Amino acid sequence: MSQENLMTDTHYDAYGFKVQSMIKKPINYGAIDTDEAAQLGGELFVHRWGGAEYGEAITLYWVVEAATGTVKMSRFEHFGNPVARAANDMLCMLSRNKKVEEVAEITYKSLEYFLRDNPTTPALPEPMQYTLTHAMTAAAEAADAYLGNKPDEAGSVIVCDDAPISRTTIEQVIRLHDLESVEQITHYTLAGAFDSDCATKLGDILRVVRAQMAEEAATQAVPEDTEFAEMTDEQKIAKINAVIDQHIRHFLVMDGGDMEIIDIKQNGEHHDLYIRYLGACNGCASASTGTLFAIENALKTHLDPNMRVLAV
Amino acid sequence: MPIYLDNNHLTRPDEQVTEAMKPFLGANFHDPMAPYTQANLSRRAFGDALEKLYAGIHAKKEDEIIITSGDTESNNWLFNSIYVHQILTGKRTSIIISERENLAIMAAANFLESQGVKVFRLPVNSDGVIQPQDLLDYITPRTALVSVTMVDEESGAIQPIEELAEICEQYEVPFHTDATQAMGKIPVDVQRAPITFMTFSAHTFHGPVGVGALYIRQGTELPPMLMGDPAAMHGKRAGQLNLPGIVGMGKAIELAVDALEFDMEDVREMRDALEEKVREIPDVQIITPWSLRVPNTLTFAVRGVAASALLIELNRSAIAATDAVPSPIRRGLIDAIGADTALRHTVITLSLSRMNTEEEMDDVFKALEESIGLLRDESPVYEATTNEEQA
Repeated sequence: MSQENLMTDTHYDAYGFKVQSMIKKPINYGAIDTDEAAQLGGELFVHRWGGAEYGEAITLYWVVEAATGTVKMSRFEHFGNPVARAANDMLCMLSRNKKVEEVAEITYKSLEYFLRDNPTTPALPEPMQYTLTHAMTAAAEAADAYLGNKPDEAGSVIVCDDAPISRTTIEQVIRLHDLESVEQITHYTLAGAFDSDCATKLGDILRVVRAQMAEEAATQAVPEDTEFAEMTDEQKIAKINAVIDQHIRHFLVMDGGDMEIIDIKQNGEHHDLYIRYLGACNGCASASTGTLFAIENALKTHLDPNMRVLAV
Repeated sequence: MPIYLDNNHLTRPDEQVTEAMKPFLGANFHDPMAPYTQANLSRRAFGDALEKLYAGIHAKKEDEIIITSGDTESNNWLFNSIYVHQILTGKRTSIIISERENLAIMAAANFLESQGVKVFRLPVNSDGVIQPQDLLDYITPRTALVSVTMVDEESGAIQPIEELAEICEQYEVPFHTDATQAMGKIPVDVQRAPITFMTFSAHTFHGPVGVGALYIRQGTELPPMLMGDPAAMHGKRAGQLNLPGIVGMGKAIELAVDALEFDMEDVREMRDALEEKVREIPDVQIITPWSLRVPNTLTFAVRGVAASALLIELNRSAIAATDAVPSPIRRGLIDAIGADTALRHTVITLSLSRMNTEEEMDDVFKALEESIGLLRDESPVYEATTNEEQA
């Protein structure tokens, strides 16, 4: 509890400029018909997610170029809290010109950072985080449906009566956001928001996942005094990712890009990190100069002076 | 001009109320319980306010009206005191509420349930109204309390309090009703039924916020929850008296009762004119029939339109209203009345007051019609749910 918590954070006027604009006038709102899809050189693919009974429903319209499996155009229609329009609108923008399987891989961090007005202020208050989860889940399910992938058993079991969210998604959300309470699960998924009987089920899932996370952390734990050079490659990558998340990623995402780690290799006294730029970073003018130095400097400062970063 | 239609939540204080309060926010700040002469004006004002409160609900001189900070405090005091002094002591065993109580009562009952108390929840019928005979399925002489709201804050449904209270009297079980949503809308008379406890708050009848009361019928024991100075409220509720609030509540209840019929007739006419037009919009379902509802409330489901989206559209037209959707601690209206679950998240409540105008209702309807049309045009579920229903 803090002074900030004492104020309601879901007030209509509490959102940033970008989110408010997308709530009011989403650019990618509306249906696409087969004629329009044909004009755009693709086939229409429609996926419906959620339902009126849950209070949240999304219909995704994709124009997919059959030969390449590339999403040429993406639009949506939504029933529910209009704040969700922002997440869906941004996801539609990010989906364009990506292969269907790449749409399913758009990360929460990318989506959330793109909705920010500035790098340090979260786009949405915690109680509205579910809008991001819903948008990503709908898109991932659409991609699976398009590609003919069938969810596993846990992926098809809806846990609560009040949100179309599977057990697999709830487990992923707990891990991704390091959630510690049922209330937080509700904020990130809407599960349990209206179905009070669901709290016990969510509590059980939370306990199981937290126990797994604790076990994993114990096996992967690095003693505090371990030198970076003495860590395993997995431990090094985890440390590098943490530094990139904290110091670099939001700047990349705000510019429409991102990066991913390909490999790390020991080269004499140097730790050579191989990365790949994503989105706007891929091929941008500063990718091999300013951006690369910024990443390398951050890693040298926070991890080891012998870090070297190579873009592939 | 902004239009305020969230009066079941909070009403604007009447100017006569704020004028009456002003002296007690300044020079006449004294404790009405103080023995010195300087406090005489405060003491007199406190006495006058109590007179108005007793008259306002037709309480007898022998009854008690204990001032609190509002209905939430009154309800929590009652439930916790019953738990500690009746249930934990083994004198009584269970509590009966309805499934459509206000959130303070739902939360208090949920807490007692978590402590092992049996809590039974009376259902409502398809009109949103409790069937008094249902109480007979649950009540026993060992029931510690039956608590049923006088008026549902979302649907505006008037509950059969007199019949329920009479059943409780036969079983010698205390009966409580929260009248917060009834005050200033329908006559509230504690003599018309054997009501043991009654809660109300000034903020729903154009009084100030942060002040309310718990009525306790003569001869009923209810140990205090807030401990402190035994002189305050005769040992029933400690803490410095909120005299400006009490004076304001006294004035507000006087105004509400004096002009009840006249004011509510005007409000009903405005509401009905709006309701008549709303009924013309296709696929709109009014919750609770006209004759079973308080005169200021219009609650309806708009198929294919999320209530949260409609409220944001209305907000753009400077209209303040609220939704009536499920919450984690209370069953939603649609589920409670057994309506189509596709309507679960589509219900909004417009609650009027004597401070609204007929012109405002015209503007509200225009905004509603336009917003519903717009949202349905782009709704991914409107056509689908209608087709399903037709099938």
